[in-house]
Amino acid sequence: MEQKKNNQVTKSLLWLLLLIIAVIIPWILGSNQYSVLLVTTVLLYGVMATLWNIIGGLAGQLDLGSFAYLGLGAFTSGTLLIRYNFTPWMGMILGGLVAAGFALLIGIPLFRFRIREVWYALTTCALVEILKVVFTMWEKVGGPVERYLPHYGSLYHMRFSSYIPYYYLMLGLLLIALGVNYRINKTRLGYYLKALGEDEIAAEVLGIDTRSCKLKALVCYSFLIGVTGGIYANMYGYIHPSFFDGQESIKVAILGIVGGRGITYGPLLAALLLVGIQEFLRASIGGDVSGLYLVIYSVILIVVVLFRPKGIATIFQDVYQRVFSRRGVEKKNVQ
Amino acid sequence: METIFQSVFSGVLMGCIYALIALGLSLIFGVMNVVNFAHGDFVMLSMYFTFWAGSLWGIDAVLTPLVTFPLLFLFGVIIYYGLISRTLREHYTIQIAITVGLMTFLRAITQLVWQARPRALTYSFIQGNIQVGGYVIALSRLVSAIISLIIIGSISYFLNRTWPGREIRATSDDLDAASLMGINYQKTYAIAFGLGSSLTAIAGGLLMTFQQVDPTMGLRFGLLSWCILALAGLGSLPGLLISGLIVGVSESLAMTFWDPRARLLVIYLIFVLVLWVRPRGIFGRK
Amino acid sequence: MCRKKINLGLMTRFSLVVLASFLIFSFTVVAETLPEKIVVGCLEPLTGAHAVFGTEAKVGIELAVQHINQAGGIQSLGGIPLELVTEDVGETAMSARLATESLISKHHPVAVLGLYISRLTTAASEITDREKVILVADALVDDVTEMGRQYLFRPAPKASMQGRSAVEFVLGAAEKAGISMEKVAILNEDSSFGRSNALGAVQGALDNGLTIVYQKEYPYDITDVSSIVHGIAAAEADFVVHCPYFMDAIIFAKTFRELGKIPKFIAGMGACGYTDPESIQALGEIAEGYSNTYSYNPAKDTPQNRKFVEEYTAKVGHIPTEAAGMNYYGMWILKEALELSGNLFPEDPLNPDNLRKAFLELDLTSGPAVEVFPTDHVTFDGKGDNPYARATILQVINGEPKVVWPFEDAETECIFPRLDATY
Repeated sequence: MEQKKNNQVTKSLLWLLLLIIAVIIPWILGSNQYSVLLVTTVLLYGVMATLWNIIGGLAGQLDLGSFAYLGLGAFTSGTLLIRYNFTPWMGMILGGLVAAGFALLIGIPLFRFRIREVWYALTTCALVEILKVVFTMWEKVGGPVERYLPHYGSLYHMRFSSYIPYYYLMLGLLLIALGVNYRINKTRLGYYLKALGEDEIAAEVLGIDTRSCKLKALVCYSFLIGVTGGIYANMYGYIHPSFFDGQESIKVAILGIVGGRGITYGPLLAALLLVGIQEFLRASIGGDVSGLYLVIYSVILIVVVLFRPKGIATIFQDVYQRVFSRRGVEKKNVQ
Repeated sequence: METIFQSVFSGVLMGCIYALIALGLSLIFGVMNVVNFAHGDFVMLSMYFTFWAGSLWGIDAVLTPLVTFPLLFLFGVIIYYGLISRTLREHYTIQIAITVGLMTFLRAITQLVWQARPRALTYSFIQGNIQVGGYVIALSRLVSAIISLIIIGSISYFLNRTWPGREIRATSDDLDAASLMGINYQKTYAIAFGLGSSLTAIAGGLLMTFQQVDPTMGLRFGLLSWCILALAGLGSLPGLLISGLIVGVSESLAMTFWDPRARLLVIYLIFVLVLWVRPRGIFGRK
Repeated sequence: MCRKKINLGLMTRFSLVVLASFLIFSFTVVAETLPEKIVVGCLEPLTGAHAVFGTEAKVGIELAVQHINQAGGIQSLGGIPLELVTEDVGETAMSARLATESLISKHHPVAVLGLYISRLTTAASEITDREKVILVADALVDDVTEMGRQYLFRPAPKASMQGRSAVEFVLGAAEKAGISMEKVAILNEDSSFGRSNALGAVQGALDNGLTIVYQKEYPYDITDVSSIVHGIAAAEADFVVHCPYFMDAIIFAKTFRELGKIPKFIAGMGACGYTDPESIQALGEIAEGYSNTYSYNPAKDTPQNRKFVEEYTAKVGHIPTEAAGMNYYGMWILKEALELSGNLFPEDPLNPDNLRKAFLELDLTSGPAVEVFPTDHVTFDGKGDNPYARATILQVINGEPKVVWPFEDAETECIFPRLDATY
């Protein structure tokens, strides 16, 4: 009992320490805008992959549509800012609602007709492309020409001239994302999701309303991604249909898978490592031999998936377990 | 009226080629239930091989499959033993992750080898047109469509009438029973995967008669073939052909009467609707 | 015991992180004394869908730096040489931003060239403006200079001007040949670049009293264009003005030929497309007679341009593409601005505001920069555009791209109408 409690305390201490590091990172990096942008980008992927974990990891639905919701959020908040000078602080919430509404619209028939596994994955993949075409053709809101978000350097318009505020926004979102993951994991919904993620038919036989469970997970995920989209648009300073990016959506799912499906901090870990490696390779050799860094990156990706199919988070779990269980064994021996 | 006919006919011809591209994927997914996200990039790779063979030895694009077919078969077998066979027992998401890794790898390596600029072969000898009562038909599309039909027919023959083909079908129907019957499923799978990827060599050769290739074109062929597969359902080759035609014709009609930008929109909408209404495809066997 | 150890490990790791960050930090803060080299950045898409332009542009920039240094560096600053640093901007706004921040924070360049794609330029120019780094842009979309960027300059002719030039060229050539042209079809790929070109062409067509009988936008990754070619023939367009992305030019040219429905003339507008060396090689004899606007004039008969074309061809295997040419003269114009800044503000020539003023003061009518520029006048208005920029038009004649317009600068007579026109 006591040991378990100790375990809990260590865990919370570890998290606290990480949080403190995360909070002071911008102060350390300070004047180097690149480093702050880099950590912010890593966090962005971390947020998206952690949110993806709700639908992809827990519920086992391979969603490849994250940038569809991101784009919807970005377009909602961006368009409101351009047209009506509406503050993105509210706009991003509305963006989240639009994304969640759209997800409901798609999710209800999708789950009603029991579309799952690869077909669910392909539907969401197609969704991103559909939205891209729709927004390219919808001249009033999208169109092929970039729409530049004005008011650079204004708090009301969430257009900061430094990345540090965006960093903290992303950090906040990350905490929310981790919190939501953690909460769902602890509640009945989490158990249901995990059950149906393992075996959907068995879960149905047990009397779980898989449809509403999946729908809840999808709405949670899409709403928060939509909110992220609002920040994304302001950070990059424009809106454009190319935000609906199929490749990047797949990348988010890959981060979730590589990190370890269903492990709360797994996707974040994968984002830290893989996005970090990719950016390091791009910045160091990308200018000399074009394309080489992607070769290296993809080889790393394949190797990781091949030898750690349960996710890289399991490496950390193993280490953690080994350290603590050994102590447990020692104690037992003493007793 | 003339425009409609012309448009439908263009669509039919392209549809046959699309069906050929999807055939390889159908073999791979239908037989071993492996989700190959890199299928479109296999097409891209074989188009590059076609370009390479064509420009190096001056072979006409239509004849390059003589060289690229065995090459792609070998490639498929290597990929199967190197990557796919290790993930057969894993969750399907792991297969997707592996094939996405492969997709990124192929994209990057082709760019490294052939640079980013699009490559194309010069005018093929099957290019030209025939005129039938005021309608103009592009010869390259016509020949490509006919070759696609022949290939689909012979694959159908192979699966139904020959031993290796029967083994593949048996394994796809019931892996355990087939194993008990003494079928070496690893070998069968490797053949199916090799065949699936070598079929893209033919498609690549045909596409290169009128198209060009660049490293980023993989995903769009990949998604296209998945759409056709979803329409067709598994195990029905005539169904695959008809689905290819549906996709080709609706694409062509959308381009003529609505907006060329909407071509993918129409295809994907059909895909999503068919999934909703008939999750097993229109012609599904299983 | 054990737990203490872990905490200790974490503490050491943490302090290592802090230490490392401080090290990076201290390295990046470079003392601002007299530099031995002037650092210039090259930010081009070297991977992804736009790599085809970026890789060529990079070679153009490298050659320009090499030539400038060979010629003695920046003379007004005592012959300081230029040093080039390069990063790949990828294909998304995210990677473009990362690359721009990375390059600027690591190397502190006085100016940056490139980005090529308008949405990458939109994302990156916010940073260059914040950091007060001159951006010599090579994205031709009109809107790039409409965002109110202070430190952005674009020497090349903007997209709408290219569209207009294509129409004017066809009309001029038709008049010379004594053919009347009334109906035009306008095609463009669906990016902001294609759109800008098409708008210019539409305006040009309307101003000249033409009827637009067919107009379509299509995605550049189109797999079959038969229906578009049939549509143009059904509309009986006299000529086609087309803004291809790059690869789509090949499929269009092949389909026009194969279906045998070829209008009197097909004029390309905007970057590359029909007259790019790669397209010509890929198309073989089908390329014959196609024309395309070009923001650079490879045939300009000046010593500097001959040298560039010669060395570029030796290095890459074909004549400079538009991307390479634009960046080559972009770098030379930057060099001239540095020279001027050295003369005007000898006490602080590399100060970004002084350099910006030098750019605005720039009025070049001779020298190496003008020798490689398509017209003979380089100057910048308040928005950063060069009002004297004009496109040239190249036509494929006997397998070689030849300058045919403006008529007074033409290398040879243009072939008009197309020899294989069928209606």
